[in-house]
Amino acid sequence: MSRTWVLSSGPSTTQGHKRMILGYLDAGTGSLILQTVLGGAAGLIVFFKTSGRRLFQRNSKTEHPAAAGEVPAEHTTEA
Amino acid sequence: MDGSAPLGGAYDPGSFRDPASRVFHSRDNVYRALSAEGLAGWHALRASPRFDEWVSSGRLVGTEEIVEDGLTMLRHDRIPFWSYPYEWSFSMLRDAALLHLDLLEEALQTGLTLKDATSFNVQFVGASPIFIDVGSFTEYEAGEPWLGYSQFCRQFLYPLLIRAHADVAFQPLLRGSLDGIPAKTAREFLHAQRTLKRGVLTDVVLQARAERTMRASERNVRSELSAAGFNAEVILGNVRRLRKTIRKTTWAPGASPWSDYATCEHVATQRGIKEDFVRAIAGARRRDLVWDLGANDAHFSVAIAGDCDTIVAVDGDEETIDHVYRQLRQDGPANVLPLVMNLADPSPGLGWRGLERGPLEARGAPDLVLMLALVHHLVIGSNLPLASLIEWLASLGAEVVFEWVPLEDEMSRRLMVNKRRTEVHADYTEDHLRRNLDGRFAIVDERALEGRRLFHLRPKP
Repeated sequence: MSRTWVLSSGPSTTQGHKRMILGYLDAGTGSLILQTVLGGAAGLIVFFKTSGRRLFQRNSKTEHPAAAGEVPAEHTTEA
Repeated sequence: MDGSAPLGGAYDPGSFRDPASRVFHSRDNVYRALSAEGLAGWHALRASPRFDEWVSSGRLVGTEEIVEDGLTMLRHDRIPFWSYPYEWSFSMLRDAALLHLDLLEEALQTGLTLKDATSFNVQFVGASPIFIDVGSFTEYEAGEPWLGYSQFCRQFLYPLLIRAHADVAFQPLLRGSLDGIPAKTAREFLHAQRTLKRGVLTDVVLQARAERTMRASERNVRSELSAAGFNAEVILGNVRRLRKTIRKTTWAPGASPWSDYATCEHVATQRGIKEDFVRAIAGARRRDLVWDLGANDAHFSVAIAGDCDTIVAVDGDEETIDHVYRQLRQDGPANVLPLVMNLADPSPGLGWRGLERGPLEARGAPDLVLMLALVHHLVIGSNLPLASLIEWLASLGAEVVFEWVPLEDEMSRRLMVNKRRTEVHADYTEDHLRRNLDGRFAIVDERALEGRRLFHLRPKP
């Protein structure tokens, strides 16, 4: 059976992984939310389901992370 | 380079950011080492119904899975000559952007996505863009946003918008920052009425605003978006929107001093003689790589394209190279790669440790160099010492077709209009030229050309 090369920060076998590692690139928080605004009807639904609207509020820089990021979308009143 | 690559090879110094996949070179072949994630991504790509079509149409680099020394790895087709976005003209970057978007759309339609959106994932084979980073493909997982959107804007969209609407050359900006142009910087170029141009308000102004507003945020937006039902349709909506924006973004350059160069009297009369001289040299034996420096409309590159494998046609005038590119794209030949570069300031080594993006000379030694009607621009126009120029030419180790343009020539005089003789290096004489050639080159042939002189030079061992 063949092997993969052991890359410095990657796993060394072909087994036991399902989830991809996508995040080596810093995508930018604002850009991630912006693509929901600009991504057509499907994007707007996601935008209003999240707290993305705060993107355009002047005081969003000061929001508490826990308040914005850890409240499940279905529990917000924005959907 | 850190670490040793498989097969006794060496990792490519420009391939290290993605921990799942790294390019290395061994025995003149190009390989890709994969982690387990990288291999899963490759298998997903290979199983895609689009893969064979992408490769056969020349949009994706030819790739095969091999096992050597018990290791699974990929072997890629070689790209004849490496180039970088800061050496491309407007239309080249535009076509590269459209290729990226087309592949991303088709990938998403078959359950794949691209991890990133860097313009360095595209190369040119002649005048055809080709996507080279097979390791970028991976399975799309529902809920994942498009991580490359911001990068696509910085490296493709903003340079195009800045050139099209502000008429500012993007090459120096991209050379100055390999990560591309930040939204905030693009915003500065695209102010006032330019805000009304397609894509500026949505992808520049809003993005700059979003980045500024969310700068201090610690929100886990990816999880938020996933929980809110983010899906491939949102990415597809953005991809299609960006494609429309880029298709409608055009550059209408002002008059370039070189755009009607071929109609100049001295060019028209001398061109036939030069072409015969160049053709005879190029036709004597087949060569792998030819550099045409100061190529202008690439007339001589096209003339000898059948006699060599690859020609790199370099000129500092973007409008001229853009025109050449569009002509080559339409009519061929397919082995001429046009590049924008000021030869008095050629691309240096850039990026991490100065090795990530190689200088011009490190990307493949030419067998033949054409330097026609260029020396006066470099020595008179840019004040390079003639001795230094000849020394650089000799360092390439290639045969050279060199055109000497004396100080008395009409085109030299034009460059001298606002200079005194004492402001040009005193060694700009044919006598000094011959002295500089002596010891470095053998003069195989020479021909007088209305006050100018053509030389066929062969490097001395």
